[in-house]
Amino acid sequence: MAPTLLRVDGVAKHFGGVAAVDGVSFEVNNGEIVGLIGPNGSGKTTLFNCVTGYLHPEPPSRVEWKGRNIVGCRPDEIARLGIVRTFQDARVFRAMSVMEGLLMAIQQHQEDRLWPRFFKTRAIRDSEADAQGRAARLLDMIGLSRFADAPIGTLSYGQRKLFILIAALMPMPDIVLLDEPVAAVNPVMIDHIKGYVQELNRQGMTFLLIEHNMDVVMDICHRVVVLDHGLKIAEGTPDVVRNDNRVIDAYFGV
Amino acid sequence: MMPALTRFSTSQPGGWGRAGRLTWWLIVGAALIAWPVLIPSDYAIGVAVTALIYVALALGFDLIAGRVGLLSFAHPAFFGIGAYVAALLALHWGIGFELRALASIVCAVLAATVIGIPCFRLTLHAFAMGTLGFAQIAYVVALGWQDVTRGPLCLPGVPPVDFGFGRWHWSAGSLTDYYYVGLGLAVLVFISVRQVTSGRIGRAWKAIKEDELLAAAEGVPLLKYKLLAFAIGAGIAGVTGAFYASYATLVCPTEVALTYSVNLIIILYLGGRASILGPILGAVLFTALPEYLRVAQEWRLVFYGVLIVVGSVYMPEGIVTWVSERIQQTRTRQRGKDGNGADITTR
Repeated sequence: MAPTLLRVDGVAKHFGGVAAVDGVSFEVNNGEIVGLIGPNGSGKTTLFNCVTGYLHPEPPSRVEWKGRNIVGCRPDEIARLGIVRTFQDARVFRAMSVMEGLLMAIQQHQEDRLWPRFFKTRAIRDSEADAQGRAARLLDMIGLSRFADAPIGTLSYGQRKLFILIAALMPMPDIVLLDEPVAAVNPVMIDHIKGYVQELNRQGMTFLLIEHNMDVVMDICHRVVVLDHGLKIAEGTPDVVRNDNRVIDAYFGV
Repeated sequence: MMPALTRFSTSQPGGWGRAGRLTWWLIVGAALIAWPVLIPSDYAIGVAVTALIYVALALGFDLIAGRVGLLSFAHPAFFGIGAYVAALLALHWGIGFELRALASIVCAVLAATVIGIPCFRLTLHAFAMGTLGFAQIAYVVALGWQDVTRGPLCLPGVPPVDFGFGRWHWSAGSLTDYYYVGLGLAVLVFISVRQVTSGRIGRAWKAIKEDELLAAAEGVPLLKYKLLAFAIGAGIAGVTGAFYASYATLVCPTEVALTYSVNLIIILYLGGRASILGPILGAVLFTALPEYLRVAQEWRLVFYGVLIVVGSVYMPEGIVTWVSERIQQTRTRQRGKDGNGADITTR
């Protein structure tokens, strides 16, 4: 059994009396692809925000990262621990060039003291060169090398989704939390993104992903956690979950 | 393998080579050094010193208002703190300029940290209001704390800029001396700002400006980087204040007043934000223009108003940004014509 990376333990978050997430628990092990699904408003993104520090879940919620409780940490601290997330609405730094955006994605994970950065010491220049090399390889992998100097804002929506995926990989995280990686993307691009996630997983990357596209979820996830009204209603392999009556009710029932 | 990577250079593909840039810098440098000799009127040199003071202030102000994109009204307060601290140290204890300047920087940076930590918890507009409140408090203190500041009577007789090293001692006497000290200050500020904005710190600021949530997701500690921009800007304003106190020999509460904030905002919007040339151009135009417009003194403010309105309609990002965008467009079009634009469409 692979070691547990992330343990979500009784996480709860209320907004004005309404439970957005109501005591959800599950684990993500090293090397897994775990899907987080559920109807709109079931609390998936709220849960992501609780894990990544954008929202503070209520006590006694626990989010354990490699055994350490990270509830109360800031988003940037959590990111630097090796938990990288993406956003639903394809957030990017539109004004930066594609290369600069990738360098941005890794720089805070490298030497982050201010004095070396101000004086641009040898160490900083070396790590910048390393980062450029890594960015070039990732761009090459997704076939966007020729856009390296173009502003990110000029990429098409599908290309932007690909860019977001490799930007998440830039800092060599331990886990990537993808919020709807293929939403509103054309079928060909969906296959590409799916392929990259699977390929990266074969190389050892762990993923936790929110996705509404059931074909993608059932295809690539090792395990699926299903939320409805802030509660976990099912968990298991895609086959088990697909045939679970409560899941079918939540998606298609009254 | 390595040569292939050069394609991914992050620097803008410039039109000039290294030699061209060096020549350009030499010409600008020579012109700046020769200025008092070329135009040896006290009046012209005085205008130039004012311009240099505004260049330093605007470059520091741009770090927070342009690079991080948070409008602050506290900048003149930091300038005023620097000026008062330097004047008081000189008048009461006869402390030399180096130490006065250092103390001014330290006090301004401390003030920036103390008001920055609460103010950065506020959102965009509330941040501006918070700094405005601080600026007003600073003004009221300068005006009302008469035991120390003498209030509206000002602090006169601030001794000149002087440097001492062992037995060697130099003290600024003429206007030309002040021009060169001011030039040195502006150049130092220019180098520091360029150094800090061209690397990873500048990139983190750019990220914060565009999208704070995403910047945090990529590991940027927001408060630390905002405070850094604020504090560096404040330090620059502080040392500029120390210089100004000696240059004017007089420090008044009006130095802390809101008009300076308005001036700095005009400079940034005129010249261009989040660039190194924008604040410089803005500062030079702002100080030089009214001197040429002296013939119509009473119309000066009206002219400014019109300039700002026309500028924000046609060049909302300032002159420098506007021009560089035009150059970029022409270059892209040119590349398309030459057929070298293939790197976008094919291959």
